[in-house]
Amino acid sequence: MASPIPVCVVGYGSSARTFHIPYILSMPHLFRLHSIQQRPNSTSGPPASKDHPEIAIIPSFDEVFASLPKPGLIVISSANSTHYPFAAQALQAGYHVVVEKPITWRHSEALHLAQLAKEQGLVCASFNNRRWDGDFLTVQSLLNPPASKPDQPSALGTATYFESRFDRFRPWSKGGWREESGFNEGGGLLLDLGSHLADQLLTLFGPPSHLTAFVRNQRGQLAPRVDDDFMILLSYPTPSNPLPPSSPGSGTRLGSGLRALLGATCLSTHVDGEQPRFRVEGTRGSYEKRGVDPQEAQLKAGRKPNDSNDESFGMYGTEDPDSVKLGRLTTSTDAGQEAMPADPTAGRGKATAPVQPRLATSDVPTLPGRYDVYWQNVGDAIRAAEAARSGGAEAAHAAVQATLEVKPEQAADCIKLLCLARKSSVEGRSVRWTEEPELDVKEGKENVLYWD
Amino acid sequence: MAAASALAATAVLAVAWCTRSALVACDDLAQPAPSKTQAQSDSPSLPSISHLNPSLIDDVNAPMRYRMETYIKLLQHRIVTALQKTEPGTKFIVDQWQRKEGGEGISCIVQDGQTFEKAGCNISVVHGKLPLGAIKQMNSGRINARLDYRFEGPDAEIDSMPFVALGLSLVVHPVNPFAPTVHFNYRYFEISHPPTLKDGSPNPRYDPANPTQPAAWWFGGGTDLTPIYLFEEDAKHFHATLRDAAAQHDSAFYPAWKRWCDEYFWLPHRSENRGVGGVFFDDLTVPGTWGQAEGKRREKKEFLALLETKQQSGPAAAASGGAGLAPAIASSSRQHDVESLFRTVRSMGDSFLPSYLPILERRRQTPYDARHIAWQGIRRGRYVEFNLAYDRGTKFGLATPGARIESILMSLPLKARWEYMHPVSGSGAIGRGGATAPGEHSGDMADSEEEKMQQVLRSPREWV
Repeated sequence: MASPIPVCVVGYGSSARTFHIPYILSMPHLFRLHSIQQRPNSTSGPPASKDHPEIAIIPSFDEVFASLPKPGLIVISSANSTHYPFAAQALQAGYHVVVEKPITWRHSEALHLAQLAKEQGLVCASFNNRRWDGDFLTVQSLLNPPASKPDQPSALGTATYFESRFDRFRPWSKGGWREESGFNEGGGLLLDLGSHLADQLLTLFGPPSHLTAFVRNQRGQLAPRVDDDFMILLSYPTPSNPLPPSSPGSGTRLGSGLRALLGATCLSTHVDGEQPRFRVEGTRGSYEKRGVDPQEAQLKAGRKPNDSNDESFGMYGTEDPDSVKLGRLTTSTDAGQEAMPADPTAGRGKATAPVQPRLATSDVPTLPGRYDVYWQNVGDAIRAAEAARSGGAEAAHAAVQATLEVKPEQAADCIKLLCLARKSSVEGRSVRWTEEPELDVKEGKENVLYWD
Repeated sequence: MAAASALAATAVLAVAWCTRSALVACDDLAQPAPSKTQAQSDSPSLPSISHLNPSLIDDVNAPMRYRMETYIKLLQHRIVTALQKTEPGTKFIVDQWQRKEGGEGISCIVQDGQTFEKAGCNISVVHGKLPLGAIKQMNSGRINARLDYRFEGPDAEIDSMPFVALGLSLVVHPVNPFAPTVHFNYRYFEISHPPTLKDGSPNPRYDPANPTQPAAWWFGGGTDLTPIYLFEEDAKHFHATLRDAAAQHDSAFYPAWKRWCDEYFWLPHRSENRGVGGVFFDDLTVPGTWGQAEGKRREKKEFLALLETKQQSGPAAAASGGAGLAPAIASSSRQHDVESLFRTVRSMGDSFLPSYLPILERRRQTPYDARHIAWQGIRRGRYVEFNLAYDRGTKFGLATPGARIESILMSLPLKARWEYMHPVSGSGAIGRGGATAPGEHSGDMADSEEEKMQQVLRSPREWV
């Protein structure tokens, strides 16, 4: 299938205008913007017909199937409460889908979407574009062995602590749909920003053993059921590998696994957006990064991705302060030596003291952000599925699984993490990954965020 | 490191010069073996061990290369003695030679006997200089990084390092088709510091008081059983003996090494294992003791990485403990030092006779006929295919100039048979690209003992 994939974007809110349509338009070899579904008199954005006079505007979701050819892609960018039902209908109608996060807030529904995608041999990709944030790509590269020397250890070694936050300074609440609905209606910060943090964590380290979460209404300005602050502490199993040679502590085996902390708050007081974003500690080094990836701001400022006239898209500019542009990397230059047993000839049987490794530190630049890779990968997966379609849905599904980076099973795990976080906060206890994620909501307690 | 050990294994199968009639002085590093060669006609049936000092094996202050050499020579003697007892007609022939650069070989071979169609138990001790190219190849660059020398560039400090490789290997191909073929090899490899650097200046890392203090060292080895006909109790006994020998030292050794053996002795072009497996290990060392000048470092104890699987990332890596993109490695369950590893290798070497002799005794007098001989020939053919196409020691050996071909190819059986489109083991088997389901054939090959053997080779089994 060499012709571009026809795409219908459902919803014309800020997400569609910022993150979806510009990319679809910038890849004409892969995608063709076929139509936009926007309800008449919609308040989510300006009339789409003004910005895109030559594109068909479809007034209701039900009418999308009548006009969009197959194979086709539907990008679901409408209100959170429509994500799951629209995605399910689109898959059942035989369309590939990209679904904005949160794809749902019920684990069973996320599993159902994965099941539908499998049965139909279709792509169902949650919009986890932040896997291609430049700072996340930098963290990933520091945790991986160097590409040119795969047998060398990574710059950070074995991760022991991973902190990932999305903090803002908004002492006055903004209002708007995001701040009116609680978790059970698809609103709140945990579902909004927690989705990205959870997806990045699961991509790096997989699922944890258990977690403890605190989900709060911190500013006290919103309805009590709406969370605007959360912190999730996660614990991972103990690694079985001994620390490799030339690593500090080589030949020993760690007695405990990774600890991770995910959080977001609206009361983090910093200038220039230099709130701490990542802090990774490992057996060989550490990395700290402040500020957020620049792509969102650049897209909102009207810069175009994949534009040959805009070579620096995705990278920080000269106007960005160094505190945000650069990360702080510390690595060990040697492994040090452990304390050696006493030399019997030395008298008094004293052991020699250990020699700690020497460390070097510097500010390091951040890799460019590449949201375009998300779209390229979705397009590649759709092409692969259609190429294998003659072998039936099973063959198409196998082609998707081999190609697609953001799989619906991963999205289901994300939802599971957020549901377990909510459960932990409501019940006031640590929860295991193996527990039932759906909260058993007691009468009159549907809107409780925190056990206290 | 696998390339390095292949090099070592080759060396152990006899690289470099040999003379059968000249009396060659041992170099000052190789000690007690006498400088004597044996003429064919008056060969005794056992190598001489009277000059060896068994207490050297347990002497923690003696260099490991001499302790290992003593151990394997005594082991060879024990094994050949025991095997000779089961062979009434023909005596083992002992073939002994010195190497020009230092080192020696001792081969004990018997062929066309009543019990043994062909059996060989060989010692190889090789001294030499490992050139820069070979050092760099080892372990994908990990070894040269840890050897703490400047190898690159115009001011490279050295261009070769002295090494010694020594080991004992054995292959037994019995006459009786119901008795399995067995192979083992246990080896020790050591790289030491040269006394001078490339420019002639003294090497600061070289300690004249400890001239053979290793810069790098490791053990390697393994054993595997290749039956002609499958007897589950034989496979179980073989594996149980190995497991018990390894378990004395670490419960993680046998599971990791059993798996490594299954992966190593796999014939990709046949999609089958060579036999019913055993154990295989390489690079068995304590990395923290490398490159250390002080003798104290030899006491260092570490957890060891036993087996590497392919690089994994994301949720798959989490299965190995959320280590963040690290490959899945089996770890030893205890910390080890050089002594515990030497004891382990000795336990494995000592376990050969208890693991194999009872099987040989049980099977070597079973009645057989032409059909069994034909199938034996087919199975021997597979053995040859693996050794010539995939076995790293053999391939390196054949590629090395001046190599002792007789010793390298000692592992090959006396006779082998290849039938075109064999119904059980070849493409004539219905189900291999044919229309009917696998395992279904007509005639006397259906559900035969031959088919049962063939089935077991298709995927490795847990025998214990």
